[in-house]
This record gives sequence, C-alpha cells and structure tokens, in this order.
Amino acid sequence: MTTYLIRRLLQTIPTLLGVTIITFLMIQFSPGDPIDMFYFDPSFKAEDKERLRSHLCLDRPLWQQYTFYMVGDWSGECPNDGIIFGDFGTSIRKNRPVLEMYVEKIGPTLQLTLGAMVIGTFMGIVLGVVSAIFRGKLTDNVIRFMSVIFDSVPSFFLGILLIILFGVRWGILPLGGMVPIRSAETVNLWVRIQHLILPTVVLGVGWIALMSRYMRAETLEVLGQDYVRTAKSKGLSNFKVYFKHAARNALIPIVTILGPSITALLGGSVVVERIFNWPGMGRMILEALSQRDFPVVMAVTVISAVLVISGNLITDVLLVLVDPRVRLS
Amino acid sequence: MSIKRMFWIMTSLMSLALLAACQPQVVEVEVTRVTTETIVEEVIKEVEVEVEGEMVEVEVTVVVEATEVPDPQGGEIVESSFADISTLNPVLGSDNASSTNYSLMFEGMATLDPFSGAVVPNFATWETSDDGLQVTYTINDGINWSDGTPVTANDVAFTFDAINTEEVASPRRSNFANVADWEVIDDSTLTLNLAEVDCTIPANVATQGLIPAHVYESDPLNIPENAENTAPTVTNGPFAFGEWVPDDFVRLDANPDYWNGAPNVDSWIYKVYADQSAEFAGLLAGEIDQTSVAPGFVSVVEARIASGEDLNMKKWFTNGYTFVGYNLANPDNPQNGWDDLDGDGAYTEGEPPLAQDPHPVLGNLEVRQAMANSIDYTGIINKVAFGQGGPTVANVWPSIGWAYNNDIEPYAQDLELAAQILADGGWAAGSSTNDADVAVLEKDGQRLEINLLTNAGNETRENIGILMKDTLDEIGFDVTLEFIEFGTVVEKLLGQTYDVVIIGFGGGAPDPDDSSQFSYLNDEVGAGFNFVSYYNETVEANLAAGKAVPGCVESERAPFYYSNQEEIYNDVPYNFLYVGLANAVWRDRLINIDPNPWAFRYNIQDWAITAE
Amino acid sequence: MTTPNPSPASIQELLREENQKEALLDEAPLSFWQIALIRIRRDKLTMVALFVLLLILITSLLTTPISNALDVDPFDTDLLAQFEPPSAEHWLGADDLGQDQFARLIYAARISLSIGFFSAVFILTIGIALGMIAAFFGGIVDDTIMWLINTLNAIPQLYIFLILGALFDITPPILVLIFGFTSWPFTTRLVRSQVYSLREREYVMASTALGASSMYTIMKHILPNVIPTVIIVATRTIGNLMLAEAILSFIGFGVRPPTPTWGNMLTKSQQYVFEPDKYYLILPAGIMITITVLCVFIIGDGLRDALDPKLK
Repeated sequence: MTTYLIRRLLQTIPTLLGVTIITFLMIQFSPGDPIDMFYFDPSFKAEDKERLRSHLCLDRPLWQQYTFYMVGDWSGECPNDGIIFGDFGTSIRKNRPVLEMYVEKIGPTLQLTLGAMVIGTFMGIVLGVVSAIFRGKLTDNVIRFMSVIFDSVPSFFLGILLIILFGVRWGILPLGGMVPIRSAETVNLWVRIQHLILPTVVLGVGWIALMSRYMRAETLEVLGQDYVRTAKSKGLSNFKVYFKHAARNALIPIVTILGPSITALLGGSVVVERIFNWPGMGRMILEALSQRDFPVVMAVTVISAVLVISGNLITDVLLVLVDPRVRLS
Repeated sequence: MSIKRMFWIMTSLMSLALLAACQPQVVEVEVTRVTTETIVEEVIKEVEVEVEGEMVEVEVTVVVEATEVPDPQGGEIVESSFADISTLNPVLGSDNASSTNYSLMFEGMATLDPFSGAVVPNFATWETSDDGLQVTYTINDGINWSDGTPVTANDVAFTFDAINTEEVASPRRSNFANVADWEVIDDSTLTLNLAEVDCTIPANVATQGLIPAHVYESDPLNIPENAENTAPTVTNGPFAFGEWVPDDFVRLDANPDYWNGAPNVDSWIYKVYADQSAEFAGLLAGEIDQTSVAPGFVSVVEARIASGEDLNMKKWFTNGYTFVGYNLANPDNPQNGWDDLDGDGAYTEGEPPLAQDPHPVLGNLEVRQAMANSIDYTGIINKVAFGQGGPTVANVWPSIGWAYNNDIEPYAQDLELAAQILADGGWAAGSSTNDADVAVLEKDGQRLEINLLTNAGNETRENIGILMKDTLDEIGFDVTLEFIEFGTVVEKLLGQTYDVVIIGFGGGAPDPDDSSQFSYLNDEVGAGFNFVSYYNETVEANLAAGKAVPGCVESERAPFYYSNQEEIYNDVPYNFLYVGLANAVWRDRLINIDPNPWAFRYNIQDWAITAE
Repeated sequence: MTTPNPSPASIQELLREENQKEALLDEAPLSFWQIALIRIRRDKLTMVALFVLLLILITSLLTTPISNALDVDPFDTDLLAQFEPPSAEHWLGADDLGQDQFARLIYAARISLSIGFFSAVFILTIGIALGMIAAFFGGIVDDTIMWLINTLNAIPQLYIFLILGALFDITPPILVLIFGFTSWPFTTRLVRSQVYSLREREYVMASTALGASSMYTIMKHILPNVIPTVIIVATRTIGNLMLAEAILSFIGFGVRPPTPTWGNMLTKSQQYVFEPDKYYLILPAGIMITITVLCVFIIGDGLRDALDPKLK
C-alpha cells in the first residue's frame, strides 16, 4: 500500500508541471496586459508603465518568468519566491499575496460545493434506489426522465427560473449574496441556509442526476445478487434490504465518480457564483481574467488542479481500501 | 456650510369655544412638517368635536409653533457598486471605486462646489499672486487627523512629494506637470510655485486628498507595500476605516472628531456586487439604501415609485460621454504623435508633430463625415440608452456650462447626405458586396471597409455597433463587428491598431481642458489617450492658451474651448453620441441626502437613517 | 466477422418482439448495425427524441426560407419594434433592438447545433487518432499522450475555456477549435483502453501473426470495434458542448451578438427577470437549449442501449 501511494504521488509531479506550463503559456499568449488594464488612465506615460513592468519582472523572457514563478528568483531582483516554496505571487491589481486572497475565497466556494455534494449525494442515492426498486414502473420512468432533464437544463437558465419564481414572484428566498450585510440583521444559521438554498440546488441538480443514474444501475446489479436474495428470504424488511444491504454495496463503485466530479463542481461554481452574487473563487477567477491579473488566474488554476488530483488520488485509495477486488497494479 | 434639512413636529393645544350653549372642549391636534427653518404657521384643520352627544366635523384655524427634532443618530448607510476597491490611499488610487471610498477618509484643502463644479475652499484658503505663478495656501485652525495630530502644511508637502516620487508610481503625477516646486512656510502655510500659468491646477492639485506624513515617517518610500494603503489608521475626513472584505464590502466608521461635524450614522458600507443585475436585485430586496441604476433598469424603478414604493430617484447629466472614435492613422503602422528628433523614444520639449501615415479609409475626412451623418442619434438615445441620455456635440461636458458651445448644431441621421458626401469624395460602387448585399464602395482600389471595435458584454455599446453596421452597410460600407473582451480592447486602443471604436469617458474633471485626448503630445503608442492620433494646429494652440489665461477667468478661457469644439466637430476624430444621465436612487429611510453631479456625498455627515 | 456477434437466442427474442413486422427472419445472420437499428426502433423515447431533434434540425436549416416567408430577418434591427411582445408579425416578439426573436431563435439553432456537431467531429477525430496511436505505439508516445490527458483533466475544463475565451475574438468556428483542442482526452482514453483490450483478442492476434501491418490491423479490425463506443461518447459530447457554449456566452466569453446563439440570447435577456412583461425574451432560448440537449442525451442513452447492451 505504501509503495502504491508513493508511486501515485510521484506520478502527480509531471501532471502538475504540465498544468503550470499549459496555464502559463495560455496566459502569456493572451492579448491584453495587466499594467495597461490597471493603469488605463491618461496620466500614465509609456515610461511609467515600462518601469512598472520591469519592477514586476513582466519584461523578462518567458522561460525566466516561468522559472521564477516555479522556483523563485534567487537573485532577489524579482518578487517571486516560487510556488514550490508556497509563494503564488502577488496580485497585480490588488497588490496582495494571491494565496491570502485564495484562502478568503475558498471558504464560500466550499460551502456551495459541499452543500451541492451533500444534497446531490443524498437525493441521488434515494432517487436511484427508489428508481431501481420500482424498475420499469411509472416512478422509475419519472425519476429517470427528471434526471435527464436535470442534466440538460443549463445551470444558469435553471438559476434564472428559480430567481424569477422564488425571488421575484414569491419573494420567499433571497435573490443572491451570501449573508445580509447589515449588522442589525442577525446572521443566524437559518439566514445563511436561506441564502444557500438556491445556489446549492442549481449546483447540485447535475449531481443528483448523475448520482441517481449510477445508483440505479448499481442497485439493480446488487439486487440480483445472492446475498440480497438471502437477506430477503430471511424475512428482513424491504427498507432494510434496499438501503442497508443493497445500497451500501452499490455505493462502492460510486466512489469512483467522486474524484472527477470535483472538476465539474469547481467549474459549475463559476456560473452559480456569478448568478447568485456569491463571493467565491469563481467570481475571483472571472474578475482576475478580465483584469488580466495573471498571478491570480495561475493560482486558481494550479490549486484547483491540486484539488482535482488529490481527489482522484483519494478516490483510488478508497477504492483499494473498500473493494478487495481491486488489485494494486 | 451645508443646508441642513430638519424635521419639525408642530403640536398645538387648541381650545375650541363652540356654540354658547356648550362647554368649551380641548382637542389635541398634531401637525408634521418638513422644513428648513423655524416657522410659525396657520393651519386649517378638520377636527371632530362632540356637540350634544354627537360627533360633528368642524373646521378650525390654529397657529402652531415649531419645535426642533434632531436627526436620528446611528445606523448604517449601505451604498453599492459592482467594482471593488483596489487601494484606499488617495495618492495611489485611480479608479472610481477606490476614490469613492478614500475621498470619505482623506480630504484635500479644496473641494468642488456640488452644483457648479467650481473649486471652493474646504479646510484651507488661498491667494494667488498677480502673475498667477504663485499660490499660497493657509490651512484653517483646528483641523486634526483622527489621532489628534493637526493637519499641517507638512502633510500637504509630503502628499505632493509622494505623488512625485517615481517609486510610488502615482497616477496623479501628470497633474504636477506645470508645478515647479512647493515650500512649507510654517505649520499652516504652503506656497506652490508654478512653471507656467495652469488653470487646471486648482481642480487637480488643491483638491488632492492628503495623507498623514507622520504615519509614513515622512518618507514617501514607505508608501508602496504599506498596510496603510488598504487599512488606513489615521484619517481627516468624515469617516475612518472599518473593515474591507474583498469582493464583498468596505465598511467605514464615523470619525467623531471630523472638523465639519461628526456624521449622524455609525458607519457607511460600500457593498460590492458581481454585476449590475445582482446589484439591482440587492436594491429591490432592500439591501441597499442608495445606489445608481443602469439605464435598462430605470423604467423598473420608475414603475415601483409610481406604485408607491419607498424609493426616490434623481437624474443629472454625467461628466462623460459615449462616442465613436476614428483612428486617423494607419493601424498597421502605429506611430507616436511627435517627430522624435533626438531618438529617445519619449517626447522631448520642442519636438514638432509628426505627419503620420494616414488610415487608408478613415484618413479621409469625407468618410468620417459620412459616418457622422449616418448615425441614428435619436434612436440610440431613446431606445438603446432607454432615454437615459442627451445629445451632445462636443468634447466638453455640458455640465461645465461656461465652456460648452451651445451654438453647434448636432449631427443628425441623413443617409442621403451621407451617400452624397461619399460620392463627392470619389467613392463609387465596386464589384464586391457586403452582408446587406449592397455593393461596397471603392476609391482608388481601396474598399470602404472598417472594423468596428467595442468591449463585449457592454450591451449598450454592442447595440450601438449593431445599429451602425446596419445603416453603414446600407450605404456601401463593409463593416465587421469586433466585440471583444475589454482587456483586449484596451490593448488595441492604446496600441492604436484598431479602425473605429465605440467607447466612453466618464467621471471627468470639472475643467474643459482635454489635451490628454486631443493633443499630439498624448499620441503615444501603448499609453497615450490621443489614440485617434488627432492633430490640429488651432486645437493645439487653443489648448495651450486656454489653460494659461492669467487669473483663470472663465469668460476669458471660454472662447478657446468654443473654438476647439468647432474644430473637433468639423474634423470628426470623435463622433459624440450622447451624454448619459446618472440615476441616483435611494430609499426613504435615508434622509438629508442631496446627490449632485460634482460632489455626490458633500454633506454625508448630515445623512441619517430613520427608524423603519 | 468484424463485429461482436450477438447470440442467436437474443436475436430470436428481438425479432419476436418486433412482431415480425419486417420479414427479416429469412435474412439471417443479421449484422450488428441491423440489430442496433431494430433496437432503436423499439425504443419509443429515443424515437420521439430523434423526431424532435430532426424537427429542430430541419427548421434550423430552413431558416432563410422560413424567415423570408414570415418577412423577418434574424439580423434586421428596427428600433420602432423595440420590446414588441409576441404578435402575428413577430411570433416570439422583438428584443431591445427590435430584432425578430423567432428568426433569431431558429438561426441560433443552426449555430448551436453546428457548434455541437462540428466540435464533436473534431474531438472524435483527434480522440480516436491519439487513442489508437497511444495504444499501438506504446512506450514514450503513450506516456506523452497520457501525460497530456492527465494534465488537461486536472484543470477544470471551464477554466481552460475561460482563459482561451479571453484570448480570442470568439466566433463559432473558433469556439469549435477551442472545444476540439481541449475536450479530446476523454475519447482518447476510452479508445486507448478499448484498443488495449481488443489487441488481446484472438482475431487481432491472428491477423498480426499472419503478417498484417499494424495500420491494416487498426483499420480493418480495431477501428470498427471502437466505433460503437465512440458514437455513444459523441452524442454525450455534443450535448455537453452545446451546454458549454451557452455557459460561455453567459459568462461573457462566448459568441457575441449580432450572431445569435441560444446562450447569448438567454444572457442578453437575463436582465429582464424583474420585468414579467418581458419574460417572452427569456424563456424561449432557455427552453430550446434544454429540449435540444435533452433530445441529444436521450438519443445517446438510446444508442448506448442499442449498440452496447453491456454498458448500462
């Protein structure tokens, strides 16, 4: 197991290197310049901008900038310490350490994504198992059809519809934002949950669809197995058989989709944060992109890649742990 | 002193002597008025009195006297925007969001009159020498920083030093182009020596927000990378810094020792939304007390006000305009506007304008004139801008009334005239056709083709572009729309590699001098704002003369700017589309607000939040 | 035989259920594709989805004649018709520039569908080619391709789209290129693993042993076996990319007006959520995306059931 872990960890190095190279190149070749953007002001002369560029080492050759970004500039002329030493650079726009900004933003995004995962997993499992139990019946068909619809509706269209219904028409849920800003209003749990409902639902429906489909297929397979039949014949209640025996075993293969779905949720949160005015990472990367604040874009991408890779790694390890059939190869 | 608006509640005990047979009755009547001064008023009131066991309505006249009710104290004002701040240091900031915030914490010696935009004293007075080359500023007594240290001439000198220190990279440095030096005479006096008379100095230099020298140990080099830049500890304005949660909000807390009177409210919150829609949702949800709404949402607000919602709206023309800019020089060969005789790459005193390689299409005056006559200005204002704008003809904002040339007749859509101008200029139908299946005009083998650039996502500008393409294609142009991301637009614009751009300027200064857009000195590839590469000898001379009038008397300066507006109107480097209307909206619970074009929050210390 | 041969029993069963509508009984053995076709015909949901999608496709192809017949144009602006609600003249009303929404909606169908279709073609071409190359050459080639796949998979795809979206002036063809060059890893990985497992089959080994060139083996024996899987992946991809197009437009990095796409029509009308009298501008585009993607996904599921009953 240990050797397996070490090998898997080593394998992530070239991938991470690839992520930094690809992102760095994409960013460098994109038109627009952070200095031009920030100082879009008639009082800035070309020489002022040149000085700023050279101060931030943006005028260095590409390979140098990349090396500095990765391992830092040991001569001390450029401000980077290198990401391998935990320095993700400084935001050009905000003049703050990018990591600090990231830490501020990851919380709200995690709230959303975890919320979506919890709702999605719970609803997905229930719907999937129910669907499997009533295989071929109306309930099954309705659930399956809903799951395809949830897959097909663009998240922001769903978001707009929900805002129209719950926010504008019925006025029962906030239109957006994370918490109310007035200190007079008590920020209790219920208020927080109210703000969370619409965004997590929008982010979670795709997950519900996916989970319920997987769960249905897995449950169907498990339901046909001997031990479930045995359990049934022993006279265990249906509920127990379905949810304890069948569902638990069906869960094992589902672990495999947890890793990849981190990617989907991170991507999805960009859209959801935008619709619901959620101050998370998605909004940060959009803003950084339009301001050409490259250190921020780099950091968000690289850290997301780390998350995704770790997610995959954990998935694989879990799979090995929970399913003895998976051989270490 | 600002006009204070007060609530008066007038109460009067009224004795009614009714019909002789009856007992006199005492009835209490309460009358509420909102007034600005003490009044004694006769009020006619209908009251019910009991006459012989029955209630009867009678009309009585009473005289009431007012008692003052002080403004409610405490609470917080929530204002909103969809852009976050980048700095809270008035020496470093250049964006609107930042300036809105730091202006409430760092005041300058002078300020702008909220109604006229004229530079008026804030906490200092000044005298100008007869030749106009020396200004002596005297700071009033008793002006203190929030930590109790007095605001002195040293702080002023330090602020000016900081702006002019290269390492600080202040965007305000060019404001000091005609300033020779400054000298601290004593704690409250500073003289400013000018290299030449420059009428833009009061607006640009005297209003500069001051920073406390003692916090930076009087060394400008301590300014970059200082935590004070985003979390200032010592201020001199009505507010002190409270908290900044990036991309969420900034909270400023009342400065109880503010020289002009402590604010009524406890704090002022600057809430940041992701975009205009989210911001508007926040307004409707009651999260915001005051904001300005985009043109597209004005009708919604108006409808809500009409239906009795507790919203107020005030409009005025902004200090800015939306325009079409024509690149007069060849986009394949962008050049600086001056002839770089000494080859140092930068402008050196005395270098003459350079005759640049003209734009193959837009270098022709008749093409620009034809375009100017083809635009549907009324349609753009009424429909695309939802009526939230007014026509303008010139490069001076109409809000600077004394310099705005009212005699120029705006261009209007006249497609026949436009076609005629092109035909007279020698443009004739060629063999190729455009998207509207109209033959594209040609002249000496050059097709009448242009790229129309604007920033994607700005729906107003995109719509203007779509309309322009529609009409221009009808008269034989071949227009390609290029709606790209703002960052790329900036690069093309400053790099001068575009053809035609739809863009706007906003938040302009109260001075009509716009050499940054029309002087060849600012035609610098990659940086200058004369990105249309405009040069006109008369305009150049007027710009120089207009700001060097001794005494800076408005009526003496005006003729130069009138003349410039005519020249620019005739040369068509820009096509002015409209001046936008600002729409300030606030809730009833926010009182004493008095939004004005030049100084929106000039009386913020009087703003108060009433209990709901 | 180059395709997996279903067991005779299952064919018999299939055909019985077909109620012997077609006299196929005489023509044994049935080819793989014929069986798939029979299966699909039996699947009512898939048939409905196919019908709806075909309807949308045909309408989108006939945009010009339909527009001409109705005397509207997706690009003509008419400020006098601004915000005109649905009427006989403008079936779905007119937007802020007075452009006819119905004409734009069906024109947008063409754009959205072709972005989905051509991107899928692009992705499949790259995906299959790289997958087979990786599997057949192995070694450093395989390692390099796998490295690229792992790298691209580690970055949330939307981030890549966003960064590239800021880079280009997005037009439909450029969007197809972006989608194509960034979305192939899934297909490649699938094809690669299929080829790896197929290589171990007897008939392929026999073919190689008989001295067939590897190119010949790929083309003759492996490619046809990979195709069913690839078709299933392709339909899913088309749906996903149509959604991606809409999302990119929504965020402001997609195809810009005046070219209508369902994504940018919906984005443009998003600001009207507070004006119920303008909901006619929001709903049609959103409903069209949903219906179209729904059809594509249902067809994908149907194809999967028909082509590869083991995958479920």
